[in-house]
Amino acid sequence: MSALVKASILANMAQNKLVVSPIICGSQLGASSIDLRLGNVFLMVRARGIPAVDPGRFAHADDTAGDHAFQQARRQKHERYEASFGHKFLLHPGMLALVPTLEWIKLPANLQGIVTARSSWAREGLSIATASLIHPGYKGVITLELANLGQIPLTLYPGLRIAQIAFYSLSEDAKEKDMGSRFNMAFEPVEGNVAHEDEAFLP
Amino acid sequence: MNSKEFLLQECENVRATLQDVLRHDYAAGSSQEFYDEFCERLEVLESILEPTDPTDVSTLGTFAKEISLLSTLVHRVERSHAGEFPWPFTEYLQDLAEPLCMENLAQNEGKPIIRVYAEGGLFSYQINLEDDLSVLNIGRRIFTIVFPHTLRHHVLLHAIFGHEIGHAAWTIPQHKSDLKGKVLEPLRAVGPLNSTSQATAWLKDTKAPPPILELRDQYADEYSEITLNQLDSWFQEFMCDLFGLVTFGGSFLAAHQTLLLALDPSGHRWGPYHPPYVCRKAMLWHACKHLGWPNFPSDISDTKLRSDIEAFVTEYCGSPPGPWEDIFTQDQVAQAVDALKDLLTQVGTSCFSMPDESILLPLVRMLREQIPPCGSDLSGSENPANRNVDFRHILFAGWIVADELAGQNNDAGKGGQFLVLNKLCEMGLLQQRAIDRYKAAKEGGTS
Repeated sequence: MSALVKASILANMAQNKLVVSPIICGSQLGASSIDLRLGNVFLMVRARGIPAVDPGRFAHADDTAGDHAFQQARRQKHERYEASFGHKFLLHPGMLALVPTLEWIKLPANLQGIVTARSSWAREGLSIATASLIHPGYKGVITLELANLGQIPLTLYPGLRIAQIAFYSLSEDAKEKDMGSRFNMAFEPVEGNVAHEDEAFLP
Repeated sequence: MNSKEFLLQECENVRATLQDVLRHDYAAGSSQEFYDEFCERLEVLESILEPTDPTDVSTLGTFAKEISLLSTLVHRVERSHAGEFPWPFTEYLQDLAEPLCMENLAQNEGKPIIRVYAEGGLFSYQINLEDDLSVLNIGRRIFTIVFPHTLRHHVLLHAIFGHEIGHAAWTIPQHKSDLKGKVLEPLRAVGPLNSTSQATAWLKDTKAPPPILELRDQYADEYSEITLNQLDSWFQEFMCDLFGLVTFGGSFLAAHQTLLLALDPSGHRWGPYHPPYVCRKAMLWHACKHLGWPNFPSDISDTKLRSDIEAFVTEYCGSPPGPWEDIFTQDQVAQAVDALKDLLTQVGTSCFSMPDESILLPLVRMLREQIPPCGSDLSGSENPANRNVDFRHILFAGWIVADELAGQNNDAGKGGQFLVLNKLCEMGLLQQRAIDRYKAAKEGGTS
């Protein structure tokens, strides 16, 4: 596995294998990465939403519209905001927000992406360190898990460059059957399922 | 407590509710202009009510209506939370409608205050402009855009707002006069809807299509005659359909057909406010012909795109109408369309023009590959040459691909495919807005 330099990234885009759309300006292209911008949907944990994130609650729930209690708990976990450009969003210390990138990403079977914070924002305390691996074959926006590790609130606006993605070539193409993801074709952040395939360890 | 005291109390209640709604984010930028306008109206209302004689029932009645209007508007604001609407589409719609809704009022150059909320179902698409400013003599109108709650992110269907822009324009006196004289006059000059007696005879024509005969029997008592008010309402609908066509183009045709036939699958129902859909479609067929849209596919060199556009034209521009529903001549419709285009151009509202192949083909290709359609440069250039793309061309591309998917022999998941297409187009509008904003800032303009 080796990281792609700018020329390789652009060559993959020129061959329509890799899509990062839109790249608003050339300065988003780094030596071996592309800067990603903040999209316009924010999922914020709701303080009064649910008592705890309990995988046991997810384990035997029916993940369809029919299970009222499960669906209600799931929906009440977050507040959802949608903002236009120029609209301010405050990320307080200790707060977690799920946000999409403005860019739509399409990865071929032989590339994976790694997403990290831009260093200028990381220095202000912004972390997007979790779930940073983007699997080969993925298509959609990327969900960023923003956390403010600093002591003062951060003001964010849709369209700001806050993250970056680097691409790594794989030793061979990922298999079609391995490339499916529950989050494929994502248009905005959604809640995960922390019990998925771990039911054996849950009450 | 007498009526006057109660109305003054209600002014206080409205003021308290206005303060309370400040808890919500209900505007893309600032809620200040709405707040200031309301405070001013409440002050004016109170200053008029205070010296009013409690026995002056006429004046009290007038101001009761004003207070009721204010409380309704505040209540709507509560539903205008950020997050309920497709903001990028709304902003493009505002850009399109605002020049038309400007007027020579006392303050702020007549710029309306625009509020957005989601409510109701299929029938809920509306753009409402306050239609009477005389009582309070206030300088700004409040302009509300209403999205059906369940369809709020179905941007392809939102092209129907082109029709609603027509209703908004009709409430502005200077436009109403022009629209009556220049757009409606040619439509009303001749034909079966020329008078109430002719219109009634037309509806009772024994050669009317079978669904009309059935409906006529069914509603015999209720709609035995067409009244002048009904005729006026019908012509306003015809005019608004032309607004939709001229402002939103092809995507309006598709949204219009999809929504109206969903509400009336036969296309032949009529009511006091709406003429039969088949007559509206017949008029739009003449208008498309006048605009040269049926010939548009011949300008396209890409074989696949050409065949998709031909399918679109067949589906939505339609075929020559039957004799009963063909109530306007080609010349009548052509005159009305040209007059409307002139009026829109004069006020600075841009009319739809068919996109070049160089614009349309990349958008359609992006959608086929499930990439949000916009002016993004995907060529892998070190200095991406992103393009400004008219948002209506994004919607048009969306409908072409929707039609392509609908034509495939795979019924499973068609509804889901349409939803995905809408989401892709909504995302494309957001991305295009970002491109436009960046380019405008680079060029030293504002966005």
